[in-house]
Order: sequence, then structure tokens, then C-alpha cells
Amino acid sequence: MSTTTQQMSVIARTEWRLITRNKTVLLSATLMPLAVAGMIAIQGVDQPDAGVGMSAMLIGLFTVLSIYLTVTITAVSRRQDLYLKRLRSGESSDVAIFGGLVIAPAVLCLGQLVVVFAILLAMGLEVPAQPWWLAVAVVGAVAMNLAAAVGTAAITPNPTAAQMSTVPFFFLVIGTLFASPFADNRFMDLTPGGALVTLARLAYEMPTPGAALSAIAGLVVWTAIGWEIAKRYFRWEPRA
Amino acid sequence: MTTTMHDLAISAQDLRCSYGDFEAVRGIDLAVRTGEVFALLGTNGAGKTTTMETLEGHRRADGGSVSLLGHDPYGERAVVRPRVGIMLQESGFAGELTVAETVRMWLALSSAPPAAKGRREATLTAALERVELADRADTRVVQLSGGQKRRLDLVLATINEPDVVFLDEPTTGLDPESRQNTWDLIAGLRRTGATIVLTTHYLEEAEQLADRIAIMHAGRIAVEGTLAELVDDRPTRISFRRPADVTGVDVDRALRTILAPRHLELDARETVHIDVDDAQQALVRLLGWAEDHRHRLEQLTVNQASLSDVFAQIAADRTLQEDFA
Repeated sequence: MSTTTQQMSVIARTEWRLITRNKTVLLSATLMPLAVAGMIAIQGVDQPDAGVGMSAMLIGLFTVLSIYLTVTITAVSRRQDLYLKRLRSGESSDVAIFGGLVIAPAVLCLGQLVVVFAILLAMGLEVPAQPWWLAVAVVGAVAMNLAAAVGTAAITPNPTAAQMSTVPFFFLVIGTLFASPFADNRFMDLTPGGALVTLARLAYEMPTPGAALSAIAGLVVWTAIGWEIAKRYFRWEPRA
Repeated sequence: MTTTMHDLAISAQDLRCSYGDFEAVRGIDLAVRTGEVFALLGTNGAGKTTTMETLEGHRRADGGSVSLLGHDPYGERAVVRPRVGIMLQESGFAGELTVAETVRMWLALSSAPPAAKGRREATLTAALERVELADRADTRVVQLSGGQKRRLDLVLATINEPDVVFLDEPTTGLDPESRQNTWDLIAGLRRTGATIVLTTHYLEEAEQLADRIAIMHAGRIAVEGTLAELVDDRPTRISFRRPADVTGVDVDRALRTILAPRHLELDARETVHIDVDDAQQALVRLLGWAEDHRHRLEQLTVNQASLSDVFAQIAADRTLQEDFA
């Protein structure tokens, strides 16, 4: 029997092929890390505490753009085109379909992060003393954005509406990323951006009002919220 | 002929499906025997597609029970889907994939023997040739015509040689030649022993292909049976132009007396229509009357009731019933 993993792999490779055939997506996916690296380079990577701000900002920005927005719009569009229903009319399990849809954007995002961090480290960005906290931040941000994307897709009726329905979470992430350095409050760990800032501070051994446990808990809670909304409201075909 | 549960590929008892407060399917019973072609007909909004999707396992029934190959098609999707082929009413392809890539992906997602790795290319080629899409193998799906997409749909539904095939309006948008080709494919599938459930708006399609037919109206099954069973208790219609040498009133009076028809009318074009149960007896009496009175019956025709008549009558009767309900 075709296993869920095999099915997921087939759907993911198809998604990857569709991404690479879309020249606009391919171009922006390639140019975005380069443009971000370029902008940071202009500001200078050797300023005090630059590593913390840049790491948190890059992880937050890339995951929200390349995963949250991409997966939400992809899921809603594929549903509108009845492509999800088509997949579901075959042998593929729901897990395989979900997994297959999100793997390609997740891999793309991870690739972008690797490229931009490699460029910045080569330009002199400080290497974190405890890099595993950045790895935790990346894994948590990827999981949170995937769940939030599927949750948002669940309550988004069509691709046009996705332009608006993605705004609240997008600004929540970006807003809390910017606000955290100025709001020295441990409860900021429970926000998407605040959790990433705390984990970046831990990576660079910088004092923080937050803590690892509460930051991870913050990311887990947002992941759970997204996943719960998806479980309750996700539909495989457009609303009548 | 008695039918045991063992002979049934699909069954439903008191099946109910709703969209919010609207009950689209209102308690239907269905039994589709293994190896037969079963056509589900109905007016727009009759509940055909909702019924199909519930039988396929796309929707959970809101009431009653459904069995597909002995399993719950919704709760045991993973068990039944490898043995089922589904042609949706609307396509649902990734437009940027080519025809061949679409079929390859479908085969890769399947566990059926024709999808085995070593057989995939041969299966793909044969399937595309069967529906005359071989020359479009490298064309992106977005560039296909509506009819070509329907044919690609049919490929995906049947390529795994399923035991049960659901075809939701398989020939909508096809030209006559492609439609005939599709009918031949469905007939071929039937010869392999597959059970086929199809919905269609083309009554001749059901007449051509189906062993049994159910006609739905307003969420219920109005009639069900073989074509012969459906039309047998319908009257035969005899029609002719009113002879010039007799008035409409006289024709009406005379024929009601000698034929005792179910229905008799003289339409605006001066054509007399008589609906009778025993056409032979009625013809003998009618011709006798004409002979005795030296009337010539121009444009005399005798029409056996057709599926179209059954369909029209159900739609009309039920509409009236609902209007007065």
C-alpha cells in the first residue's frame, strides 16, 4: 500500500514543481534573501547586539512571509481550484495532503534562512554562543507559521479574502518582533515575535526578562491555536 | 430476483444530508448491485451530487447509513479508496502540470496494480490513447479544452481498474464523438465487472448505459428500476391530425367512448393526442372508428413512453405536490 510518507513525498514534489514553474514566486524567493542580506549589510553587521536583532528578525520575517503567507494562499487557492478535493478523491490521507502542501514552502524558507545567515556570517555577523536556541526558534517558528497558515486557510473563504485574513497574524508577528526589545516584560514570550526575540537573546547569551520555557510555550500555544482552528473549520472544498 | 447484502456494492438506508437548515437529501434508500451500471438522474438541485459525494465518502451522512464495498465510505476511507474511482462533477487539476505529469502523480499516489512502478509508463500511455489525449501528453492542463479535461478526469477515475466507479456527469461538455467514445469506455469498464454509478443530464446516456435508473426529485428518489420497469406502466401516446370532416368536440366524445383513454387532448395545432395503456387494442378501435366514418388520420404516430416522459411527469407531479403542500 502506498504509505502516507510516500504520498506526502509525491504531493510535495508536485508542489515544488508548481513553485518552480511560477516565475514570479521563484524570482521573489531567490531575490528576497539577497535583498534582505543587502539591506542588513548597509546597516552594518558588526554593531553591538546586532546578532540578536537580526536573528530574531530574519527568522520571524522569513517564516511569516515564506511559510505563513505562502501556505495560506496556496491552501485557499488549491481548495478553490478543487485540487484538494481531487487529491482527497484518491487514496491520499488527509495528513499526506496537508504535509505535501506545506513541505515545499517550509524547505524553501529553510533554504532562504541558510543562505541569508551564511552571507551575514561571512560578512562578520557575530556567531551565537548557544546556536541551538536559534535552531529551536527556527523549528518553533516554522511549526507556528504552518499551523497558523492552515488555521487561517480554514476561515478564509477564497483567495481574494486571503489578502485580508492574513493581515492580523502577519502584523502580530512583525509588531511583536519590533516591540519586544522595548517591552521588557516576560509576558512578551507568549507573543510570536516576543518568543523569537527571547530565544535569540538566549542564543547570544544576552540578558532577557523572558525564559526559554515560556518562549517555547508561547510558540507551542500559537501552534496549537492554529491547529485547533484548522481541525474545527478546515474544509476540503469551497464553501457553497 | 432476490438480492442479498453480499451482492451489493453500494447500499444506503434512509440517507439524509443537509446544508445548514436545508435538507438536500431526504431519506433515500439505494441498492446498487455488484457489476451493474446504476444511473442517478434528477432535476437541478435534486440532490444527485450530494448523494454521490456521500456514497463516495466525501461527505458524512447526516442521517441513515451508507455502505460501500461493505465499509463506511466516510469513516473507512483508507480501506475503500484503493478500490474506488471517482470522476468529480468539476475537474480540480493543477493547471501548470502537464497531462502526463498529472497522470503520473495520480499513479504514484495509488497502490493499485496498474500503478506499480514498473508498469506506470505503459499504463499512462494506454490510458491517454484510450481517451485520445496521447498527443496532448505534454500539454499543460490549463491549456486543455473543457472536453479534454473531462476526458483526463475519466482517466484518473478509471486508470487504477477500480471495483466501483463514480462518474458525476461524465459527458458534460463533450462533443458527440467524444461522448460516444466515453460511452464505449464505460461499456468496456462494465465488461470488466466494475460497478458503475453515474449521474447525467442526458437521458439517452442513462437509456444507453444503465441497467437500473433512479430519478431523484427534491431530495427523494421518485422512481427506481430498469428502463422497462420505469416506462412499462406509462401510457403509450397515439397522435394524429384532426380529420377536417369532424369537429373537435365530436372527436373528443367519440374517442372517449370507444377508447376510454387515460388522457385525451386536442392541441393548438389541431393534433389529437391520446394516452392509452393498451396501444394495440386502442389502435384497432381507432382505425375501426376511422374506417366506419371514412375519416383519414393524417400524421398518425404511436409513441411508446420514454424515459424523458417519465422524467417530465415526475418533475411536474412533484412540483405540483410541493406547491400544494
